[in-house]
Amino acid sequence: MDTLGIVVEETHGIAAGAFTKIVEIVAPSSAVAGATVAVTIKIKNTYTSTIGVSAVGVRDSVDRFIDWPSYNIPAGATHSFSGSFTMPNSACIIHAYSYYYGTDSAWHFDDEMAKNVSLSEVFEGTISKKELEYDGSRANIPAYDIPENNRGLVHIWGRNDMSDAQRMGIWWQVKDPDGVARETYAAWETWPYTGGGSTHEFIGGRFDLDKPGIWTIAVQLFMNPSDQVVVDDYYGNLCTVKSAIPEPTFRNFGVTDYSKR
Amino acid sequence: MNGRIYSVESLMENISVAPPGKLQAMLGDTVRVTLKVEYMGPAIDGQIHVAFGIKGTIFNEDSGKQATIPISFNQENAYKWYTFLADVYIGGPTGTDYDLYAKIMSVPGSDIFTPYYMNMLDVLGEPTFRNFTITDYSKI
Repeated sequence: MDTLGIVVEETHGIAAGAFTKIVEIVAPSSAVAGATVAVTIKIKNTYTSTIGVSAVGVRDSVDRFIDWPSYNIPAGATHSFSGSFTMPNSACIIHAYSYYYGTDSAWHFDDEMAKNVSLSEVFEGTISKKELEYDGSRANIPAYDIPENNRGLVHIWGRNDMSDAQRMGIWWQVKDPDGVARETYAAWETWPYTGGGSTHEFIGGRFDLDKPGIWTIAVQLFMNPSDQVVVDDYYGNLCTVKSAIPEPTFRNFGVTDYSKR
Repeated sequence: MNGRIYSVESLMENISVAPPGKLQAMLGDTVRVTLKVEYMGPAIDGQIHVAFGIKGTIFNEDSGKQATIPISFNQENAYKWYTFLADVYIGGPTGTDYDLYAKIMSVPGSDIFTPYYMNMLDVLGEPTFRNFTITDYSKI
């Protein structure tokens, strides 16, 4: 930290934030236990010339995840100091501190800010089965060689992998071989919700499988309607549709000419 | 007309694609018949049978004036015109007012028939000569 060379005349009795201002702590307001929480502390130089500034970020006064990096910040400019920590199994507080480098070759505390990070519930669910219904038949998705001009109907099962009942939601979109959206479906299940370990079947609307080629589907399974979380997804082929070859048919058979050779 | 009288309606019923008028041929000639049909379906092979004869209650084919040719169709998802040529050797007896028909056979389902084309062919015998002599001569 003595490599900066830019110093500020030390002023005794100066109040915190005299030369710097912590503008923002960029971090999520909630995170699940064990997740990596990325944090950026933005510090502005409020002095009239460049000063050496250092930042410290501490989680719950326990984990110093931004550990005194320093930077010469030009007058009026803002610099970002970044780090991360692992979310504990409880809510926590991020403390941010700024320091300036004084003429006494020492770092002096200047400003501080704090931000709460609440603990998110972990939602766990699985798209447990996917089927395509057509012409009275069903096939697992991706399905193959579906005859052209059938009516398609998608069935998706979501499984609640948590111990208590959860309300599950679904969204999917079917696209034809030309990339045109042919069916979009979204729904939250109605009461009673799905118990732990159980599944719920979502059934969409019918659509025409009227183009040969590869049809695709994008599926997302949700939980927690108030702050919806994608717990599983599928992006891939719905089915392949093969051309419908008509039965042999003839018409207008006739003699148009005849002559001696 | 070989003693038969046809109503306009019956003629219209029997002839949907009108070939040119009556043809005269001699024994030993070959008559080329052009046939057209629209086809839709999988790729298949079959045959076309063409016959001259006399249509009464049934069509009495003349075994000396008929031909059978192999045909093939590609896979077609919509109707497509196909044209075929059948060369019919004219043998058998001479006669007039022969009728004509053709059928597609050896394909899935029943045979497909053209309309009956009535009085389409007269068949003459080979030219013959006899008693060729000089009967007189004089100065002119």
